[in-house]
Amino acid sequence: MRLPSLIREVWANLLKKPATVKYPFEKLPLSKTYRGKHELMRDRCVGCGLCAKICPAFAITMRSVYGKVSPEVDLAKCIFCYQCEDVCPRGAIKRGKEYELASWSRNEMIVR
Amino acid sequence: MSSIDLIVGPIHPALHEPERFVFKIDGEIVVDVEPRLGYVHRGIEKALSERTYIKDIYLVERVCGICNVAHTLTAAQAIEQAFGVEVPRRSKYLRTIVHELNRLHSHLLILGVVCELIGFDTLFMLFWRDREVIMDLIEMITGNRVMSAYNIIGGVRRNIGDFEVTQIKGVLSSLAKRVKQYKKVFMDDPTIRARCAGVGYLSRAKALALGAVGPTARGSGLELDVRVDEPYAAYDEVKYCAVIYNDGDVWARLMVRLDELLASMEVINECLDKMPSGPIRVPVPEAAPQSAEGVSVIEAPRGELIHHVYTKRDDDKPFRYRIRTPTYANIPAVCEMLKGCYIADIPAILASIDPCFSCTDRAALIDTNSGEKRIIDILSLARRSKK
Ligand code: SF4
Ligand code: SF4
Repeated sequence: MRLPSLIREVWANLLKKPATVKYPFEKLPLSKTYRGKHELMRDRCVGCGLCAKICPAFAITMRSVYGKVSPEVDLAKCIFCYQCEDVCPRGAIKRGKEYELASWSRNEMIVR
Repeated sequence: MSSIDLIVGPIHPALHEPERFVFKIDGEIVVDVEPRLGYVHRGIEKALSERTYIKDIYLVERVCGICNVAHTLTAAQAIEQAFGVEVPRRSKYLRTIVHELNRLHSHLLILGVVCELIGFDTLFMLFWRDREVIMDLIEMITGNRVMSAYNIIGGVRRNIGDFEVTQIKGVLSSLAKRVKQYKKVFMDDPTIRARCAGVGYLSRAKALALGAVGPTARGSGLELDVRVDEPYAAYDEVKYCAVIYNDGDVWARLMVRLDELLASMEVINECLDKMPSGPIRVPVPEAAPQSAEGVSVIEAPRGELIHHVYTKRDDDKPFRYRIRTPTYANIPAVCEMLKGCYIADIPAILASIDPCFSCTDRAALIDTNSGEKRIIDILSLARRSKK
């Protein structure tokens, strides 16, 4: 009987390192362009509200804190498209690298 | 001779998405099939005409997660046509590259799924391992593994440089070697031949009559490929030949996908070599400059995908949006394939058309209680929805 041609590949894989990584202890590198959690720079923001208007997921609300209006991003609604970054005239929204966003309460999901 | 009804779905381990099929069976053989679609209907077409064009692009991306680039590309092209905007040539090439990468990962995914369904788990693992490198490339270019958010009206959102070009070429050349090896396995492995060859036969005449599209049609010998017939994006400048197999069975449909993997890699390489420099996007007005109509047809991984948009002058929302997805067109064909097959072959046959039910279920006017279908013309539908 002829051996199936996949046997060679299977043998080679037995001797190789696993293709997977042990996730919480070992992490894969992220790409430079990765779209993770937002970084808001409140000192740059002028409170124009363009980001809240354009957000496709209605995730941004404008809140006034100590007389200054600035955006709040609800990560539970956000789809991480970063249209808000594209539209911001002041560059106040930056793409962060954090991707472990699970949390116990909705309050912690809001980036201020 | 009486037959028994075997009800599969809406939730069933053999299906990956909620859909119901009623199989009339005689012993082990399927005599007739009755599909019931509509379990994942989300009202996307209506939602699209309630949002602005900029937001629509992100909503159509979510019609189907796997072929999201295909959907955004079609939507962007349709809206650009209605707006009368011409996009820069470099962005056309970038769109083609990401579209083909999307096709690579979609085909690798379904090949893996079929291998799992026919009980060949080794090959399933290998396909999905190799799919991971494509996902990494997509993340490198677009910023996310799956939801690319790459095409916008007027171009694309990110550029690629020399570093990315060498990365893509390196990954693709090693992947091509492995795909060639898998192709050999598919040609002569006894397990695959026994489970796939001659199963789920669809003749060329039937495929034509039932309006099959994509790899399903090409596996039955129909020369149907939008990339060849009506080139869009950069396909008018790159060489591409449709992959055709004449066997019409599950095996042929899988082989079409394997060969398309290799063809896609060639297209990407050619695009990378030929890509002109220049801008990647042009500014586009937010509101429609004219009342017009835009239609765009592309070859999504599962077949022909059509987006049709009506715009209204000075309105930033579409008047009406219509999407026609490939799986919807392939449902009559898959019902034909299932007639006369064994029950054990049902999952493999269903998976061989690469069904994507979430993109199938968008607009069907079926009254569930009476089963009555109604056809409504576009104006009265729009009038009704505005009430
Ligand atoms: S990334 Fe997209 S969804 Fe998230 S806040 Fe910004 S615009 Fe809204
Ligand atoms: S668009 Fe930029 S400047 Fe305007 S409110 Fe948002 S973050 Fe602030």
